[in-house]
Amino acid sequence: MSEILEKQITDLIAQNDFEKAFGLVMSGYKERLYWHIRNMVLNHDDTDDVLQNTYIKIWKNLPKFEGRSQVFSWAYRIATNETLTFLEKRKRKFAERIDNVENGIANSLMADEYFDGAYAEAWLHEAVSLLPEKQQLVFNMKYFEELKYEEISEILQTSVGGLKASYHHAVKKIEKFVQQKAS
Amino acid sequence: MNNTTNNTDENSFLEGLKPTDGMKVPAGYFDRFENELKTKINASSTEVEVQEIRPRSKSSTLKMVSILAVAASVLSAVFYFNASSEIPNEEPKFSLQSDDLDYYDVDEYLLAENFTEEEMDAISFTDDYLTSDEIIDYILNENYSEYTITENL
Repeated sequence: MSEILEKQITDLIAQNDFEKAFGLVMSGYKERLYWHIRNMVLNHDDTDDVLQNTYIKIWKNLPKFEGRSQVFSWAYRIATNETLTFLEKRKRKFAERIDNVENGIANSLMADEYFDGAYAEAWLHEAVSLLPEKQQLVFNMKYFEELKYEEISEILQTSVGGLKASYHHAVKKIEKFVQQKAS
Repeated sequence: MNNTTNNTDENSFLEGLKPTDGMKVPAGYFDRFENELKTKINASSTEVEVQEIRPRSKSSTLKMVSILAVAASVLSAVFYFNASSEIPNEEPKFSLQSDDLDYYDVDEYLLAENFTEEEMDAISFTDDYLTSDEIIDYILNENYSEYTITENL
């Protein structure tokens, strides 16, 4: 994330120019937030809904932003919470629709018009989706979004040591899952 | 050191899986997103919130009635026990003093039977008709014992 962008946003918030500040949060972070959500949610349409809700929350809460963390981390936290809420709702829906569970996430991904990766990639996403939520978040942020442990620590409010342990466990589980699929 | 080794091992495993960005986004999505969202935010800020008023369900009415009935019975029990505990056990304290006597307090028929008009005109409720000696004489004449007098007082 750019320190200059962070300073511009916080200055605008301090001047109560929320519209301009929001414009910068939008242009500066929308793609990163999109991929953060997409790696958890997996399909585009749901990601779009969650991203819109995230930005509406950011817009509504921008006047309350106190600057105790970076705007980037704050926006990431909102996106994470929105994503987890969405996943919880979807999990309840999935429980009623056995066919989706049986088909598996990898197969759903392969059938998705906005996915043209190989099976290995689809399996990787399926393996991640089977992890506990915290491990999913840590793995995605470290592996796909290439964030530093210190940045993840600020977003998830967890110690770096805890994050490293979570990432290690996540990788072991993914390895096991993919090996089973490959054999 | 262990963490570094683990991370290296993990990364070498994941390198073989490194996705080739199979996830796609519709063309021009990010360009449109900003305008679509601004339209949505403007629309939501001008929306008038209409609160839906639903008829109260039968079960919720029954629930409310039962709660009210329990509350009423508890309240009446509290009032009953408080009220009964406040009633004094002793007799009411009042007595008729001769000074309080008024003409209208005296039974007129009784007076008319026992006194003439002149006598009645002469009656003054403030006068003492009997001295203590006269009372004692009367008692002795009538053979009332002291015991009887004190018992009947």
